[in-house]
Amino acid sequence: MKYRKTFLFLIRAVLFLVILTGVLYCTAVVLQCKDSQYKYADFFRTADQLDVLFLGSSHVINGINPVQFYEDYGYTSYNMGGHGSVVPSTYWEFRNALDYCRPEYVVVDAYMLEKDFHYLDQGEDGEDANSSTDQLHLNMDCWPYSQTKVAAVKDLLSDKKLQRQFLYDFILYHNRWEELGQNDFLQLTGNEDRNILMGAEQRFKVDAVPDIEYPKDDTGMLTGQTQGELYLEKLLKDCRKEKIRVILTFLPKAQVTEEDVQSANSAGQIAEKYEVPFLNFLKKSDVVNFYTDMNDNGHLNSNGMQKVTEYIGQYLHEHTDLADHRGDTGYELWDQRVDEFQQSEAEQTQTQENLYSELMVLGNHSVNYVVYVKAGSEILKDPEAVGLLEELTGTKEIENAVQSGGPYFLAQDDTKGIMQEYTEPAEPDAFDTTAGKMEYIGLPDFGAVYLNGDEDHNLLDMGDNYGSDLQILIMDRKNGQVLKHQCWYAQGQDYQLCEDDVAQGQNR
Amino acid sequence: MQVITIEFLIFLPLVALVYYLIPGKIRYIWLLVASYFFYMSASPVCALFLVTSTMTTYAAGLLLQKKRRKSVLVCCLLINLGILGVFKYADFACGTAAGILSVFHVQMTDPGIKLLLPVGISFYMFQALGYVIDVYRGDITAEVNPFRYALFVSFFPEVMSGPIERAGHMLPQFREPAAFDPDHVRDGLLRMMWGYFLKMVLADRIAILVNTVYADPEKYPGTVLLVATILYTFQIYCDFAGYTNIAVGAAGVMGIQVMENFDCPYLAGSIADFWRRWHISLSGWFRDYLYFPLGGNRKGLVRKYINIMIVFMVSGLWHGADWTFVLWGGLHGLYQIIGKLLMPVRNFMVKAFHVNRNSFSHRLLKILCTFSLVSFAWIFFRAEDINTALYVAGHLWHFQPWVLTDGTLYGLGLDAAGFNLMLGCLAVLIAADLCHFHGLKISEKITAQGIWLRWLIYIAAVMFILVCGIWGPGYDETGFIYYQF
Repeated sequence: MKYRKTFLFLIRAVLFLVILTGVLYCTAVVLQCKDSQYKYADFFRTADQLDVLFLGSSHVINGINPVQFYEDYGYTSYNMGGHGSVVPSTYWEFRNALDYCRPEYVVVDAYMLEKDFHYLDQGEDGEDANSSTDQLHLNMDCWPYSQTKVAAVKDLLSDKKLQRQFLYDFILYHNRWEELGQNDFLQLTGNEDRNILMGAEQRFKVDAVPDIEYPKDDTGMLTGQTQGELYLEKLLKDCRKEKIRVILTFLPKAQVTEEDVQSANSAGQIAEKYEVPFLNFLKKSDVVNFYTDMNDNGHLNSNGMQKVTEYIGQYLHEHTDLADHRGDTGYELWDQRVDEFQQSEAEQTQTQENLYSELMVLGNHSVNYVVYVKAGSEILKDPEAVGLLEELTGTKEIENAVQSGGPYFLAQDDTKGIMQEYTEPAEPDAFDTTAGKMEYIGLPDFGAVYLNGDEDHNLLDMGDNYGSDLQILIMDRKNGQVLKHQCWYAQGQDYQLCEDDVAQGQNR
Repeated sequence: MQVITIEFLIFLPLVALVYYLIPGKIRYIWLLVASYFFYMSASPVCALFLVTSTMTTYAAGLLLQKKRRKSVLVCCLLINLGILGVFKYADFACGTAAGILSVFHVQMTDPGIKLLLPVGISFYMFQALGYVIDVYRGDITAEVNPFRYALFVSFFPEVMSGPIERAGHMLPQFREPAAFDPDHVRDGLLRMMWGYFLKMVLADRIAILVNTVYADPEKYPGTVLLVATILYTFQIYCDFAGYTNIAVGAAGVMGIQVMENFDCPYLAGSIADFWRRWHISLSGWFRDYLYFPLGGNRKGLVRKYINIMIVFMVSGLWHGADWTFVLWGGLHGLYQIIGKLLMPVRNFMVKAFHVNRNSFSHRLLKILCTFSLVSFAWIFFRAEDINTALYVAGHLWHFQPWVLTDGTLYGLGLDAAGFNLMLGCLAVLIAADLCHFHGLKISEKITAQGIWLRWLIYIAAVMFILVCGIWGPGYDETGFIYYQF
């Protein structure tokens, strides 16, 4: 009787512990910070299809867009970059990824090669160390518990308590109960929000006046062997062993320090040693325009990302035999991501609240548009805004408007392959657009855009917003329908979107 | 190792498992090994003091058993209290001496005595000394088995922060351990869970707010000081009762009964009643080993009052080597004396206003008055120094009720969600104490339910503690208020 009671107790205890563990697991999933899951959700879905992995820091996250890659060339890739990710973190990101995929190429960025500390929590100074450790969660939380993850955590962090927080992140995230949202619960069913850019992130600010610097002496090398170099070589050796081909990069920066140059030169030397190509963007001044393509001194904005992705895509196209998977069975998710990316690009053109950002995103070719700058506007005296308009057209025509005082008119219709640009008072002949026959009238004190001869409906606002400096008509690429009409007012070099449009932008 | 660590949650089941698997006769050996492992994991060096205290009191017990000599008792007391005095009070004594000498313009350089205070020394030493006095009085016979006695002094659930047990209660349980009973395990775990709730969800959450305010009380309006003081009243209860519940529960898992330390203290109707319900094991110790030997109430009214003051001031000093603690103890002594002095007036008022002493309103008034007095005294317990205590005590009367509604309370370290959760959990605590006060045992009600509801409650409780408890990065597992004593 006594043993029976004990036996039943043990059975019940085991069953209870099993249920408790299950509930604890679900709770941990719900409470987990979703940043890492958001970034890597598609990685786990597409791991067996990946041909290329992009590795590195935030410069990579903001610099290379795998969806554009697929759209242009059909190459399947994932952006594994991590904010503040130093080379040892990048190495372990690669090792963790290898547990799930076997890419043909890895593209590794050599930024921060000069960093010479082993443990992130014993970094250069307290603040940097904390920041590096916090940012490591983006690259670590998504990986399920595994030998590789344990090895990574032990190698990157010296503090045992910190190691535990990475291996059992419930310790860290249990108190997220206050901020739980729908998405946290959707994680349980696998329907949570996810990064549609396969790990990449776009930035939309334009640092129109970057601190462009480049050291006079650009021949220096890193002295000794830094931890960054050590881990880069480890990565290269692992790749050689695993028969994965490597391309080293150093992505563009506006403000190039002596350490950057030394890192890039040392990366070049390592590339030579291991006989891998090295794309040093510090020496490719024609790829990005620092005045329009930088989010800040170090990170590219979406325009810069588009150009760098295009460059690397072209390089791979010319120098590798990677397969084009567009249209292949089983790759439908990639096509879906392309559609979503295009839709997101179109939305971006309608939600910016900064004129520079707006002019920058208009260049993403997701919409057709008309830009009208009234005669005598302050905008024509703003070199940054003028530069961004030049970036849109690829011409210097706007300089005439700067000289003459305008008005300035630009109609861009990618669907029809039309670009019309007028830089002084003009009443040109109507021209074909997706929306219909477009007629422009530009007078010193009046502007009008009519469609199909309907002169009762001026698409420009010459009523309430007559005083606005710049108007933009954003039009659907498919049918020419006006999606958004923005009116911008200049106050010096500060630009305000008229309030109605701000509200509409926020509502989207 | 502390009781609020994953290590302890692994350690305890392992100890219990082996405990039940080995023969009853040697279980005390296993518990002794486990207890020393537990203690040394927190502080290996301090185990020397534990051993010293154990050996001296063990030897004294045997000697007193042979012949009841006062010199042996005094010698044992001097050795143990000497150790306690040096390590706990040397710095305080020097500081006090310097303060007194400075009044006479004599400068005394700080000798800089910063000795390591062995963890739990006040608890296990009092427990061991209680044993020696009991043997001396002939209340119990001395324990011959040194290992069993060593276990009595070092038993891991109580060695750090009590309860301060009696040999007569514990040694027989070590001699004849209880057989495995699933109900003991379940009840012990439930008790521990309640302890973790009190400590991790309530005490440590309240501590965030209280620490913010008490770190710089001059920054805050009077009503905020009042709220922080009331919350501290709950914090210290949850903190200490939390530990006690974990300790009692952990012992209970192994079928060992440890005495209760709390009995709804904030539902007490008088200060004397409060001390019958708060830290019962220490109150009982002082009553049996200090108040009665001083003469108790047998030597006249004045002597009784003096004895009360001595006991409470010593109790204050036991809690901490600072004048704030002495003042705190002194206040409680004064409360009792004033209460007794005013007894005729109170009786007159009751008669004059035809107050029914058994009415709910009268009992509630008494509870509220006692609670207020206890809360006020906690100011001296919590404040870093006397000046801070006096500042808080003097300013919490400044009535600024709008801070209760203008969001000020959400800016004291806890946001709105955290603050409201704290209030909700306090309501649970009060409801639980009211049930207990009226003899309703919630744990019995739960265990009487069907399995699905029981398990649902258990699992929900575990999850609630894990999710809403304060732990993880930056959390100090040694942060029990009574650890420092």
